Amino acid sequence: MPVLHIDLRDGFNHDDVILYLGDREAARRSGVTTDLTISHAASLEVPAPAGPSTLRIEVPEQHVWSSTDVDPAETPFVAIFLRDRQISFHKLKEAMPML
Amino acid sequence: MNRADPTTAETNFLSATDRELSVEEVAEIQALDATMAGTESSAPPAAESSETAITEIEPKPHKLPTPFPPLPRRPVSGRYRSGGMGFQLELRVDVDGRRPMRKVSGDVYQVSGSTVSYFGSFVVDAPVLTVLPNLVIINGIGRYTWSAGAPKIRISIPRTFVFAPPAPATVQFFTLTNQPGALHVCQYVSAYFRTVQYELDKVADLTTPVFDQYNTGSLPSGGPARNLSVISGYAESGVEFQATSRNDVIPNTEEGADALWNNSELHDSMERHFSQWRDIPQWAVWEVACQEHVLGTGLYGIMFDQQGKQRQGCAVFHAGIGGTTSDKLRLQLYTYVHELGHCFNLLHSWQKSLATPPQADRPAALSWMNYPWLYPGGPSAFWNGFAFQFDEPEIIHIRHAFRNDIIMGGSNFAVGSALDNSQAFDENLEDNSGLKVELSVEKSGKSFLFGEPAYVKIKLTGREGRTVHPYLHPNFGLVQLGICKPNGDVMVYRPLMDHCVMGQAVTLGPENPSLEDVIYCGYGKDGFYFDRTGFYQLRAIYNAPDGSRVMSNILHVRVRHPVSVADEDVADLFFGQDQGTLLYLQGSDSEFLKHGNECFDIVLEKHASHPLATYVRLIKGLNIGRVFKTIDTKERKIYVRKPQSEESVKLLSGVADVAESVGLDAITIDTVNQSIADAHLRSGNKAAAEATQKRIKTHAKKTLAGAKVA
Repeated sequence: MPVLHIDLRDGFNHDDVILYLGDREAARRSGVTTDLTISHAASLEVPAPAGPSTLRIEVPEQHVWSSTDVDPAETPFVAIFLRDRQISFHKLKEAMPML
Repeated sequence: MNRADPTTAETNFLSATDRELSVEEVAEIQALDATMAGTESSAPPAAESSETAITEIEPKPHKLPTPFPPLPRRPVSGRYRSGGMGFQLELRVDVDGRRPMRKVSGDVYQVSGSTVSYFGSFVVDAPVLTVLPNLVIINGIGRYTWSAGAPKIRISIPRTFVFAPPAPATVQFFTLTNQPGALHVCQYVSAYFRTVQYELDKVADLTTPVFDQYNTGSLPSGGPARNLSVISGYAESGVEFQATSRNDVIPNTEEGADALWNNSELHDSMERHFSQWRDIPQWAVWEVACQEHVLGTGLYGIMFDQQGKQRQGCAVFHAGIGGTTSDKLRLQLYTYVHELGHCFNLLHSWQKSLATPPQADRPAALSWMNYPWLYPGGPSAFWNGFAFQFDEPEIIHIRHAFRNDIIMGGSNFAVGSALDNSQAFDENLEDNSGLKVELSVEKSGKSFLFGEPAYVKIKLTGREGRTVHPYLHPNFGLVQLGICKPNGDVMVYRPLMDHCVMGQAVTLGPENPSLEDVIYCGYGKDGFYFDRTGFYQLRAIYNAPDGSRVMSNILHVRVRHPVSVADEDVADLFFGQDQGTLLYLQGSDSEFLKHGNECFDIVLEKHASHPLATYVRLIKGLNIGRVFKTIDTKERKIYVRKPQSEESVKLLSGVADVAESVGLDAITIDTVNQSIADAHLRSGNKAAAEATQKRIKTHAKKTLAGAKVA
C-alpha cells in the first residue's frame, strides 16, 4: 500500500489535528505545536489507497479545515502550512527540507 | 550571472555588496528621499548648530577639472566607545560604507565601583546627516529602552583622510527643549557594528567535510561573484565573527546508540564542548556540524538552544547538505548562515509577524532567512535572485537591535522577557566586588499559600577584610529587590516607608563572616506583590559602599492555589490595604487600620488553626508587646498604651510552638523568642525569661549546625 508522508509545518499551537483520506480518518494528533526555528510541528506517515484520493485536514480549535486531491504515486510528500486561518498544501516529490 | 530585476528594491544601489558609499552619496540619497516624499525630511528637528549653514542637500554643481584628485576620506560608520566611570556608551554609526542603513544606535553600560552592567539601548531611526568638508554631523531623536530625559542626540565626527587614524565621535544628548544633556566622547573601535566569538565544532562521524567557503559565481545568483565563508558572510552584514581557537571533534558517543542527534543531546554537547559557554547573555555562539538529526535527513539545521538562556547554539546536518559539488556547497553556506541567523533572533522571512513586536511578513525576501522552497516562483527563482545577504530589515536588526533582543542568551527566541532578561536585573558583565548576595526562603518547596505574607532571607558574604554596609533591607534604599510575576511583569519592591540611615561600615572577617536580614516583601507602595498564584522570581541588587552593584541569585518561589474554602476565606481576609500595612508595620493600634485589625480578628476567631493565623498572632503579639503612642491633635495630647505582656506572651507562644512547621525563618523565630523573653522580664517572671533565653540559644546552635551541614 502506498504511504503518504505528511508534514505539519507552520501555524499550529497546542492543536488537535485530524486527517482524513477519502471518507476514512487516517490520523489524529493532539497538542500539535510548531517549532518556529524549523517551521515544523509534526510528521506523519499515512497508508493511502493507490491512485488519487482526497486529503482533508481539520483543526477544530482554530475552526479551520481544508482538503486537496493527492496521489502518493506522483507526490508522496505533503507539507501543510496554516497561516491566518488559511491552509496551504505543498504536494512534493521529495520532503520539503526543514531548517 | 546577475539575474535580478534592476527595478526592484532588492537591487538598488544601496543594496550593492561590492561598493562602499561615501557619506556625501548617502546625504544625497537622503535629500532625494525627502524630495520624493514631498517633504524636507521626516527626521526630528536638528539641534541648533551654526555649522549646519552648509547644507547637504544642494545639488552638485558642475565641477571644473582639478589638477589633483581629492584625497579620499575614511567612512565615519562603525563602532565607537566612551570610557571612564559612570556611564559608558557604545555607539554604532551606520551612515556610509557598505549597505548603509542610515541609522544610529547605542548601548549604555553602567560602571559602578568594581562592576559593569548593561543599562539600556537606543536607536535613532531617522537621523539627519549634515556633511561638511571636514565634519559629519548627525542629528535625530532616539527610541530608548528607558524613559530618556534628553532624547535628542547630536553626533559630530571629524572626517579624516584614509591614511590618518579614525577620529572619535562626540555625542551630545539634548532635552526636547534643546537643553544640553550628557556628553560622551567615543573613541573609534571597529568598522564592525558587533563582534561575536564564533566556535565551530564537528562530530567524529561526519562523512563529508565541514564547510569552508563557496564561490557565489559557481551557479546563477543575484549578486556579484565572490568567495564567501560563514565569517565573510556575516562581515558583509557588519558583524565581525572572531573564530575561537578551539575546534573540538565530538565523539559519536554523545549522540547516543541511535547515532542520531536530538535537541537535548545537542544542548548537552554544547555545554561540554563550547569553550565560551556560560548561561548568561554574551556575544558568543556555537555551531556544530553533525551527520543526522532524529527528525531525519530532511532537517538541514536547527537552532536547538531553546532552554535556559537561549540562542547560544545551533547545529547543521550533513546528511542533507553534505558534499563537495557546487549546489551542495551553496546549500551548506546557506544553512550554516541561516541557523546562526536564528541565534541573532531572526525569524524566517514569512514568519516575521510572529515576532514580539511583530513585523510585516516578507515571503518574497531574497534573504538568508527565507526558504527557497517557499519563495514565489520556487527554488530556482530564489537562487537566481539571491545575492547571499540578509534583507534590509534584518540588517537593521543585526546592526541596531536593542542589545537584549539580539545578544545570544538575551531575550528568548521570538518572545518577550522574564526577570533574568529584565534590564534592571541583568547579570553583571563584570563583577570584581568580592561580594556575594543570596536570597532564600525557608518554606518547604519554596512555596507560599495564597495570601501568605512573603518573607525572604537575604545574606551577604564576601572576602575577608572587605568593607560593607549592613543595610540589607530595602527600607534603607541600599538594596533593590526585583519581583518577576507569573505573567512576566517585573516590579521593584517599594517599601511603604523609606528609612534614612547614617553611613556605617562593617568589615567582613572571622567575627562577621556574613550579614543577614529578613525582608517582608509582600506589601509595599504598589500594593500586594504576590497577589496571584503561580511562579515568581526574585533578585536583589546590593549597592556596596564603593559603588559596586552586586547581583543576588534568582530565587524561584511559587504561590499555591487555595485548596479549601478555609484557604480562600483566609486569603480574602488577608488581602486588603489595611492588612498589608499591618503586616508591613508588624501590627499597629492605629484607628486608620481598624478594618485590617478586625479582619485579622476574624481569622483568629474562625480559622484559629489555619497556618496563616500564625502570622496574625505574630504581628498582634509583637505589636501588643510594645508601647504604642497615639497623638490627639485636637486635644494636643499623646496617649501611651503600655505593653500588654501577658497577652503578647500568649500570642507569641502560639507562634513559637508552630514556627518551624509553618516555615518561619530563623531570624523571625529569634525575634519572637526575644519578644517573649522581654515580656516575661517586664512582668517580673525572671525564670520564664531565662527559660526563653535558653530556648533562643538552643535554636541558634541548631541553626548554626544546620548551616554547617548545608
